[in-house]
Amino acid sequence: MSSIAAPADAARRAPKRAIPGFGPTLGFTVFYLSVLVLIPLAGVFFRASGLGLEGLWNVLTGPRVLNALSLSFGAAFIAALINAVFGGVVAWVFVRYEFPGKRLLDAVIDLPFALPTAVAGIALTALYAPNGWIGELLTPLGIKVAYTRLGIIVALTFIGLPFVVRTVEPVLREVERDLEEAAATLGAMRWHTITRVILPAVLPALVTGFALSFARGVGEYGSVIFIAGNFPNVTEIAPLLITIKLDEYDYRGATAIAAAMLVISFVLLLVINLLQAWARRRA
Amino acid sequence: MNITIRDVHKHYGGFHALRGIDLDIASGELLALLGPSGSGKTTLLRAIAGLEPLAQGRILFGDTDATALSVQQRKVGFVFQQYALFKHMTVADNIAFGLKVRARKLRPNDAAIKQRVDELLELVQLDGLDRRYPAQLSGGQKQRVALARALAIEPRVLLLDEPFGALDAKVRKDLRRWLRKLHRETGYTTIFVTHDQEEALELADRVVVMNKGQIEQVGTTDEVYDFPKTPFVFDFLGTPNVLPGIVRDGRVYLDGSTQPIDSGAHYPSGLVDIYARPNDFRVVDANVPGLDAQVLETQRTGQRIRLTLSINSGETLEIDLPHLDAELKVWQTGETIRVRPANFSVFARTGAKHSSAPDPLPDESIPGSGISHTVAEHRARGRN
Amino acid sequence: MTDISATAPLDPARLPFEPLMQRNAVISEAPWVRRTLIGVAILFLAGFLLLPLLSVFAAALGKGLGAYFASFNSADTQSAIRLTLIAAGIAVPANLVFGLCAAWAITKFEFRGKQFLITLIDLPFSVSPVVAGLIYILIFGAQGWAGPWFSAHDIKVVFAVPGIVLATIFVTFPFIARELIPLMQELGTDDEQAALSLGASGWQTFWHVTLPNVKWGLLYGVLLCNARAMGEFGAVSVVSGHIRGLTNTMPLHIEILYNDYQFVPAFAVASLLALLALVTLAAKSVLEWRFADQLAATRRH
Repeated sequence: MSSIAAPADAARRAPKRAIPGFGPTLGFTVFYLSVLVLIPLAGVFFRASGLGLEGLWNVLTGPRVLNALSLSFGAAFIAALINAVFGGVVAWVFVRYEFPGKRLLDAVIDLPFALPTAVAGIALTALYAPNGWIGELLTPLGIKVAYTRLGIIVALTFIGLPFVVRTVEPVLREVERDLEEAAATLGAMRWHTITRVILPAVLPALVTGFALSFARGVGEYGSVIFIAGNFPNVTEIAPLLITIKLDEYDYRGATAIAAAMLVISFVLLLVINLLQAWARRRA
Repeated sequence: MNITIRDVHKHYGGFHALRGIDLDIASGELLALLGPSGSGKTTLLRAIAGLEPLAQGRILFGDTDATALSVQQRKVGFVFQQYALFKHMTVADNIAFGLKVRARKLRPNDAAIKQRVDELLELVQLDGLDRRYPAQLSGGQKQRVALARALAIEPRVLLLDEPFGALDAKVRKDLRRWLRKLHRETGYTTIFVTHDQEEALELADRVVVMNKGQIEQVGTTDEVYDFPKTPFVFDFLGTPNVLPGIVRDGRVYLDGSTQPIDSGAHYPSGLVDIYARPNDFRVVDANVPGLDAQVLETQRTGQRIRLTLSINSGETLEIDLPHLDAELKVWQTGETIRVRPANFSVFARTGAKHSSAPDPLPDESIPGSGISHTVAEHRARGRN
Repeated sequence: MTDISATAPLDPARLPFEPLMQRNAVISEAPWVRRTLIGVAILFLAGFLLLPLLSVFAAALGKGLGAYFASFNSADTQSAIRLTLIAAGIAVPANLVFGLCAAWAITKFEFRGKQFLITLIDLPFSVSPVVAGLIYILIFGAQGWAGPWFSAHDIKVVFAVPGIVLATIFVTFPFIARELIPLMQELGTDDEQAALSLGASGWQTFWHVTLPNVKWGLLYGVLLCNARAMGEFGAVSVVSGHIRGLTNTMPLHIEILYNDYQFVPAFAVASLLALLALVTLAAKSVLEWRFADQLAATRRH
């Protein structure tokens, strides 16, 4: 017995891992994550559960809250759609064509990631206000952007643009030239090649980019509140309504909306992860 | 469908990739384009497919001028080196693609497409795999799907770019045999590109040896192997020994030898290189004309014995001898023996510098630019 | 296909992808389609990205340089700049330490739930900034769980600097970790094992082997993290209480100035943040062009 047990003991005494630092780094990671992110987030759900299902339901189905939520989701959806189309075109142009100023524009794509949202908000407002550079051109056409829902869509499009471009670009770059040539030798016209060969290959990336852009748009605050005008029930987004409820010391209302938004964001996060798994399988 | 290629040129920027290609390909022929990287063989194949627009020259499919046709109109079955299968489509959808993208009035109905796909799957022995995706197939299976997809459009000609390049040795051998059989059964005019001489010789009816955008030699596999027209062809179809020699009064002498090694043909006088493959040497008695050499190393490889010899000019020579040869004794290192090339080619020596292992892409081997071409006409084949 | 002759520098198969795309009619579009698409892309990017950026500087300098620089004389503006620097100065190093720890644990070891941990680290990206602020109000606010205890000990968290730092840490939480994790995953553990087998201690291995390998990726993450930390608006807005001169960061100060119709000062402060964004983008581009091979594969393009 002892002769069998001895090597097992030795194995147990020897350090389990070749590289040191597993315990401290993982420990710190989990601690930091829990204290700063997980416990505070869980707090929202605890608070919300204190309202009871009925209480939650009453808050969330109030007309003002309902309008704010549907505006946030609707505008984010439309903006993500615009980004999917134009972001797709931008990615295509960047991967496939050469033109002067390409490098500069390529660097600028990430501007929405780097520019503070408040700056983007006042800049877009200045641009689209009736006396702004673009607003001036649109006003005679009867198009109002600033202080309308259209303005919200513009801001969310700005915020979400890089997500689509940066997700689609690398995938499009990896579509082999062979595939397109193969389609051509098989008799496919260019349009068929693009719709039946290239588009399906980049579709998972395109949908992922759409979902990322949408998720970002739903929660966006800084860039929207300046251009939105913030009229209750019309151009009041859900995150703004949370801050209004907080200012009114209506913590229950704020918590309920926050909980609803968190649940939806988590669902979106799950969807995005599934999409990325799908994209990896297809690659 | 026979194919006629006339004076085809292709430039990439300043690089002249094809320099005046003329070639006639018979209907139903299985032709190999053989050459090193950068020789223009793939460019020529792509030009036939219409994937490379041409600066100059014409390509005819039968009597039709293909140069005026787009890729889509040419109806060539092109099999890409990495197969280029559509990853998001099943095997069946990949094969059906060429039929499904036809204009509506030319498109077969769904039942006809399905039937054609089934036939092709059977032909390439992939029945039952129609619902798989390319990622779920082995390399050899992908290759066959690519072939079936190319055959689906009933091509005028089948073009294969390095068809076995991405496969391991065992699969490669099986597929070669299978492709040869498929060619016999279907009878498509087939052109394939390869850099592997063994593959070209084993598979093709005729071989086109290319170098630096030009054709070095066209011939049956026997012709190019036994009668290489240029040092380049000789070199590319094996690893020859190159021996310095001289021609006087039409007879060939090895350097340092007073007796000629060949008396049959007539050569123009001058310094020459004598090209001989390792297995074309014989060990001979001291009274027979030949080359005295010292044994440096003896190595047994399977059925053959490889001798590394040092000849008196200080260079090394490698020869292969059959190991069951009755006369063969075990050579001792340091022993001096006399060898004689049984088969060889004689080319005029062009450079002052001589090397026993010539540059794989010698500049002087371009036909027409040196005299080697004309000397090659007088090439003799010595026989014992 | 290994031997390529020196006289054939432009082997057709090796030509760069893009120029071929444009020249080769087989796999490209008609010139008018190409031009239209390029035009649409440039217009879209110019309208949505370049114009807003330009308009910030145009509005800031609209009343001349004198008015522009006068904007920074206000004590409130200066304290906003100071607070922004403090918040970023705490949040970025904190997340840097966290990012290194998380990446080390995740990439050098195998353990169950690793993928889940990565998802959790990414979580703050999908939380609305306003909600990020709210969660700290719910804990440290007057009605929060820990609020009474903190006020009993005379420690202010919300409507004070600690709250701002917490909110900033939350929204910038994943930046450095998510940059390092794929990079270190790609690099593997061979180098570290080699160093350890040569007798280096864990710390020495980290300092002399791991850190030099990931330095550019780390810098990349720090740049993005810092840009977001200095520019965060929603989360900070909720926890700050907007006390001028005390709990106003630059983005919050922009809002106050803007709502007071002080457009030149508002855009002047905004122009500082826009400059920061431009510097970040420039540095990021330089990193991508120069050190593409030393950034994670997911970043290469």
